[in-house]
Amino acid sequence: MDRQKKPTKPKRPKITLEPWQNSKIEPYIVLKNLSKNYDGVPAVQDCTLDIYEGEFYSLLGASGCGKSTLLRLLAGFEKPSSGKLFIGGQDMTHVPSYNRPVNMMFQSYALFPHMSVEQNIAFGLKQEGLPREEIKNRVYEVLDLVQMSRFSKRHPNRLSGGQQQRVALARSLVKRPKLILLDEPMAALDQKLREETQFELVNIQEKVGITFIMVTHDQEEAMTMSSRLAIMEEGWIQQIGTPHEIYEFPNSAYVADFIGSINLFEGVITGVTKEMVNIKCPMLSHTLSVPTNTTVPIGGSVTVAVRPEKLEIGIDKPTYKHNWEEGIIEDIGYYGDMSIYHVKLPSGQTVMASLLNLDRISIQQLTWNQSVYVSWQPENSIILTT
Amino acid sequence: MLKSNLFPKIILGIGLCFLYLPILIIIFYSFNAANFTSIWGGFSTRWYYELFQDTYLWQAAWTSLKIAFTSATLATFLGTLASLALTRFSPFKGQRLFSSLTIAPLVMPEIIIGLSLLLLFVSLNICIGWPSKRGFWTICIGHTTLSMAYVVAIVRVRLSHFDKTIEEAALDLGAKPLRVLTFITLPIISPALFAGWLLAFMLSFDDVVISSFTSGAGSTTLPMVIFSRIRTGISPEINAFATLFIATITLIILLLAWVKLRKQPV
Repeated sequence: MDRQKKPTKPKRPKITLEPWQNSKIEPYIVLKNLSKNYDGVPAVQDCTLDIYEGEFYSLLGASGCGKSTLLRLLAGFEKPSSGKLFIGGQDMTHVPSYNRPVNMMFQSYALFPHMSVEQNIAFGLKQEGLPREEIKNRVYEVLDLVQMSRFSKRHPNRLSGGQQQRVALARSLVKRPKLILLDEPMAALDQKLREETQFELVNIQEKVGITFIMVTHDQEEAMTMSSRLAIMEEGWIQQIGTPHEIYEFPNSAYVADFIGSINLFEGVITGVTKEMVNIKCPMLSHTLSVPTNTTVPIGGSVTVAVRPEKLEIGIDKPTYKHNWEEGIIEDIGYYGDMSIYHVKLPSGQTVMASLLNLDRISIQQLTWNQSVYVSWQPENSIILTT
Repeated sequence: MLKSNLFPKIILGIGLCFLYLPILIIIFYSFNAANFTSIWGGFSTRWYYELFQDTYLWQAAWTSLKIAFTSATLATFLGTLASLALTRFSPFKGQRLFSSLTIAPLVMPEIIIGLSLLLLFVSLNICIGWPSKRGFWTICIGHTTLSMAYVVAIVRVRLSHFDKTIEEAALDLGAKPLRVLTFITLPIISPALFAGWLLAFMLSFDDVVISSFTSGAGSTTLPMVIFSRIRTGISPEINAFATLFIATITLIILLLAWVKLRKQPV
């Protein structure tokens, strides 16, 4: 109880929203053309990133895309083959991990099995040679933060997975590093616990104001937690942006398909006006019309992408010229809060349309093999050139 | 039904007899009053009394203990270093050769090791004047050569199964590599180190072959004494000694089991 009376709270830093928009703010972590090869096989290729103080940054990608290697480069467990890494303006490219102001939370938690929870967390502070009293205060401060003070004398093998995760987080927080790296922090938790932990982790991050970089393959997790995220594929960074930017403005078919589900139509530009681009797709019977935002000339081939929730589905024939198709409901996926309809077009292509189940008993019941019309607004479709 | 129930028990009985009857016989005959090992001449503790008078035997036992302790400690130290080099260093030139060399003594006949060590010590004496006489240290070196291979076999497996992220976590928390080794790696693998040490100790303690080649005057080990006495007919005194020895080991094992049981519920 004594400990709670005088909390030595770390000062809550001023949070600037979207610091990457402000050219006056210097990025805190800078990766310049960072590459890593394993025996000639590239794992991370020419990676350039700016990460700002206080961000919750996610590295997202399928397994083997190089996101974990990038995290290990940041931690100092791997030496880059080329390129530079700066943290807080200092060149950290060749600084060993024990001298970096960076702490990592491992996917396996990597708790020391021969030490109690308290000793595990105190380990990092002991390396700094702090007085015993201060070590104890700081250990209990972070244990309070992750609500694990009750278990301070236990050994890790007598804790549940969720409790071990909290200890691992506390251990990475206790040294008050400039940067915390999280390697799939929620991978070992069950679904329910994972959702709770996601919000808690973001709250803790906001409380301590430390920059977090998280590696995950779970796109939902990355979307809900991050300030910004980088999508990686085969060692390359495909796109960097806020969750909203990544979802609504993907820059490639890979990103569009990796984040959420999407309908892709390949076609050729047939006409360009001041506002609209017209595209003819061999798989669709009507032309597509998309707001002009591309430099591809007439005759150039592009891919048009539309998210399922942007599609309207109905039994009334649309009155406009572009962006609609007739089809038959082939499959219905019921998710409770919404349903996803797979509509088969005459050309054989299937498009997905999702509909929120706003009423408990739907008035306009759509069912299998029903003839329906799918349509969408021009501004809701995206032109992808790659 | 009865038959099939009985059969495994009989086999078990035969197996247990095969393993432990000789030991029981030794204990039994250690209380024999007769001058010969194989004839029962009534109960007596005469041989225990004579055993305690036998300073030569006790001296040999003390030498053996010292040699076993020293060589086991040396073997554990060197074997752990070799295992660390094999599992923790990035691949180096000659790693495979080094790996085979460390375990070579396991498959080498002891008599060859003993003979080659003897030749080595003799020629070293001619070249550099050491060892001028063979004794405690030459036996220690000989035993370490052999038992280090066993230590490597045990410790290396433990290290290669070791979760390396635990070491990385310690580095990440600011511990320099030597501190990681001292405070994280070694404490976690300590059961393997202890097992290796114990095995090395026992190997040294009952070794006859290498000791015979590398010992000199005044440094006779216990197994050498027993072995040489058996050639002149087994003295019942040795039975008494063996009984005491078995009793000591049993006591140690019971003590360890008791300590382990007490630790468990915490």
